[in-house]
Amino acid sequence: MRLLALVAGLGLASAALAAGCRDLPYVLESPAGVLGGEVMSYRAGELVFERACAELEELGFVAGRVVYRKAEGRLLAQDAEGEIAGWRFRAERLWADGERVGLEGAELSRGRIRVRAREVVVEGGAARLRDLEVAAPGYRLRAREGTVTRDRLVAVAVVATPCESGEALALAGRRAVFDVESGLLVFSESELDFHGVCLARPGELSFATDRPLDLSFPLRLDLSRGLTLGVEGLPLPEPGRPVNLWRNRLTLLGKELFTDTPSLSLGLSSPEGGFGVEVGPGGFSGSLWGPGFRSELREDGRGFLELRHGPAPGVGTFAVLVDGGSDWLVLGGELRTKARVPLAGGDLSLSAGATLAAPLGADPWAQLGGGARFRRGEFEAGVELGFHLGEPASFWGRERVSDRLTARARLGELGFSLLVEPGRVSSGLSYSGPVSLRADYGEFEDVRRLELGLGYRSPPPAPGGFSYAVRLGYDLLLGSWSRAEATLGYSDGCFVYQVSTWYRPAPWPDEAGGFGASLGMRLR
Amino acid sequence: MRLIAAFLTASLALAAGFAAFTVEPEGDQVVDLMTGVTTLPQGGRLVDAERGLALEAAYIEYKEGEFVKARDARLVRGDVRFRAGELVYRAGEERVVLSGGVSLTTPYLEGLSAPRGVLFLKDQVAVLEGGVKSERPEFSAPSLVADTAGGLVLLVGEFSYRDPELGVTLRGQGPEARLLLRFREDGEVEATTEVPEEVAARLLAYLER
Repeated sequence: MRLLALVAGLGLASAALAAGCRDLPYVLESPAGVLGGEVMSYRAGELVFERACAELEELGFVAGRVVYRKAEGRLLAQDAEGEIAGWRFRAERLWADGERVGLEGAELSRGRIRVRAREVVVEGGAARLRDLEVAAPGYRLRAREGTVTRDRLVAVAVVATPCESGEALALAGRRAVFDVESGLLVFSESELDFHGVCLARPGELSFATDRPLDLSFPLRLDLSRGLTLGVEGLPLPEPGRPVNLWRNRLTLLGKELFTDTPSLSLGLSSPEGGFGVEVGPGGFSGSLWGPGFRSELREDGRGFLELRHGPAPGVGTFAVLVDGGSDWLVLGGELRTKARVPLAGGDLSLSAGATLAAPLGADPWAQLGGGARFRRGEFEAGVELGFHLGEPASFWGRERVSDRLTARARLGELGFSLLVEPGRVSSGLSYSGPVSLRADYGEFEDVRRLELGLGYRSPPPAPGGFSYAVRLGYDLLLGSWSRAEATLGYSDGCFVYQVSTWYRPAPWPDEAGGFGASLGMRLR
Repeated sequence: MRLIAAFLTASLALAAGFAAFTVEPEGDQVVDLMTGVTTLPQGGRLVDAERGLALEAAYIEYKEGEFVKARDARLVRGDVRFRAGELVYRAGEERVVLSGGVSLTTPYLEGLSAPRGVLFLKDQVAVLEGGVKSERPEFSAPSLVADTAGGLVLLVGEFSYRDPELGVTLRGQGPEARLLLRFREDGEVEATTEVPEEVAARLLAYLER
């Protein structure tokens, strides 16, 4: 009978008790809460509730069996599940004495964070953990000890890794704090190691746990046309901002090196704006963009300026456009709008746009376009149509101006695509399971192609294992093999390293032909 | 659990006490020679000096070897006091029917009461029913069956037991609630809500008789 006096002694205030526990056939009530069960017994100083539950403000649980040992003044439960300090928990064993609650073989969870600990001791509203492992989407964390309160998890002597197994890439920190409210995981005095080699000592570093940890390595190595080497979209540190929310990206690429058309690209982008420059044999080109404007300078000396304004989110935008050079000037205006409506249990998106351009010294022209896209479950279909009135310049800004019809549909693994524009018709049917099949038809100027493709892709590599993919193409109209492609992947449990190579004796337009190879690396 | 032990002691005392007694009338003592029934209309005492047991009542009617009837009866043995509005003992049926309000007081127990009760002397089983209540400790149940020979007490129906010192209350909820108490010879008490089927069937049958 001293059970709830014990529970009251845990320092837990009285609370509104859950009706579920109070409604059990046998209950023990006190100002601190209620302990209930479907069966109760008392024998030799042990009070036992079977199929039991307990409900208090800071501690509530259900358990197959709850025992109170009068002589020891101790409450014991097996296979307990419940809530403590706002965290869900499961424990192989739960014990409570006059001042503390302990969990053994415990797992605590809050949202998408799971914490396993060899031992948890709850005292004064906080849970102290020993030998804990934290699993969050995209990364794992282990620590020697930690503390869990209603608002946060603090871990000491921490190693965090995004790796599926092993710790090839690891962030070691003296201390890490997970804030439940903001979802931020903040490391202090941290060190980033790659295969045991220190890459950086960023000091304080934070992750947003409610966002995926996108660590695709931005290295680009391509051997298809000379050598292309550099980084593309490398995230740049932003002090005080979670790692996976870094928005500034750097691109530095040497393209087609060791050919007669080498070039160098440099770019920096952020959600607010950015710039890019490219220097090649033909000269210099660049672009600069920011909120509401985009400007470009092309190699031929012509420039393009777009000033865009959206009066309200979701309504649409209008823009003033200038395209021209020393001997050429076009003034234009553009309106774009879009809408989303629910339809037949799915989502229908509609868009429309109109551009009016007035070249100085020539007739004006207009481009009209619109599209519709429907999504419902695994089915997705879309169609876009654009056409022009008058005689436009072939390029407008960076886009090729042309009458065009595109259509796409996808149902699970099945896909269909269609593109029709002057001088070019292409369509494709595909099945993209582990074994993939493709049929692509195209008409380009005076060339017609009908390619059948067969491919196989093995499952993603297990840690320490390999994966591979192959694809062969044969053109029925050319009567010859059109492609042979292969990719080999290796996983070290953390990164997947990929090498791809291809031979395309008959490439499609916009595709690199001949021999080529590229290297890639991505997280898991 | 001591209240149950006290109740059992009193029940056994009462059952045993009718074996042989002396009569101390408060007023008249009327003997009907035709029926052999003795009446104490102003009440009096039946005393079993050997067992230290006394039945005091405002009205007593008895026939030795057959029955004792008493109104406003108080059965006293040492510091155990047992009261009933009406008491009827029939030697043939070997049962004592208590009605008009039954109460029991011992050093460990104050104000155990019930509207009615039956003592099955041969089986050494006592039943209290109609709403059993105890003031100290605070305790209640619709019915109670005590098997004095087996050292068992079964609380039947929605019961509660409150310990004011600890501020806790144990409740059995709903008409199907049961609490079986087993009094062991070493003085320990065991309790369970999972009553063995044969025990439940045997003890619950007394509520039907």
